[in-house]
Amino acid sequence: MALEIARPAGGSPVVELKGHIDFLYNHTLGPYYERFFDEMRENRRIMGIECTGCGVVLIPPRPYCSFCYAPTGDWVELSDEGRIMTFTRVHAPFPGQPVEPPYTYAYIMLDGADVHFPHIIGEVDPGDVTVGMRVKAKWAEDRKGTLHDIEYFRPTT
Amino acid sequence: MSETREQRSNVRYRWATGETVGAFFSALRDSGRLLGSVCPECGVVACPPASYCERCGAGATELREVGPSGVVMTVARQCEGFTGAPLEAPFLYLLIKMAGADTTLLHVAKDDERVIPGTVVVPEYAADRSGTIMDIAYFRPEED
Repeated sequence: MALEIARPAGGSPVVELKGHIDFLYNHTLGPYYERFFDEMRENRRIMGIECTGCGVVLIPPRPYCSFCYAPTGDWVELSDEGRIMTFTRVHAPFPGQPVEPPYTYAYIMLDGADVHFPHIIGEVDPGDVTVGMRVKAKWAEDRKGTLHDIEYFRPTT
Repeated sequence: MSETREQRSNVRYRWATGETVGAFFSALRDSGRLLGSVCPECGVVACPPASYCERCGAGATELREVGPSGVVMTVARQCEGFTGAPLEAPFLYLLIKMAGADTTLLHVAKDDERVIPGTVVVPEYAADRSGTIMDIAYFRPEED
């Protein structure tokens, strides 16, 4: 059934609306992210936190365990080295990307952690990246207390 | 106090109106007329129009002109301005039942103590119409 549309002479029919959402905001870090980013900026240290219940080491640090919901306790310094759990190659541009595509994005299990840490892989041909590959953080010289205080992870071998 | 980080969300998008809402905005832009959809099963006239009747689910087969006046059904006063606000705050959000329609249209009015449920309002059109709901700048009391 077709709609009976009385369409007066005018421009071409409206088929879409253009939308634009743009806002700046301040994200309050809270005590856990604040210490996490401070350690990265000031000391080039990646900190995790240990669960008081099941003992897993979580990164980024958080007040409650994501596995057993027990409170977390001791802060643990993690290595800035680890191994690639999985990775993908990003070709498509989209808003908010840390670098221009193409780039390799990976889940990295840092030594001493029980959950992965997502970051970019650099200094390696994309075809040579493998699951299990050992990588190490390349720290930025100008650190601002964000995830980009690490420019990327690069293979150690 | 905890540290903060400045962040930004910036997204552009295009929303496909579909046939029914496209016809609604085309008519608004080209002639300033408001269209409602007529349900062939239960007879409900919806404005803004819908491809399917919100009461009985039947597919709409006809669009019909409604308004130009409408009755204010409910009012909310927006006291604070915000990015992308349709009017300078304070202003009013209205649900308006257009003449000949059975459902309500969300729009705005300037802050006005006379605008209460039951007030008859008419559209004040934008100077330039481009086929969006803001082709009506706001509604104002008919008595003005």
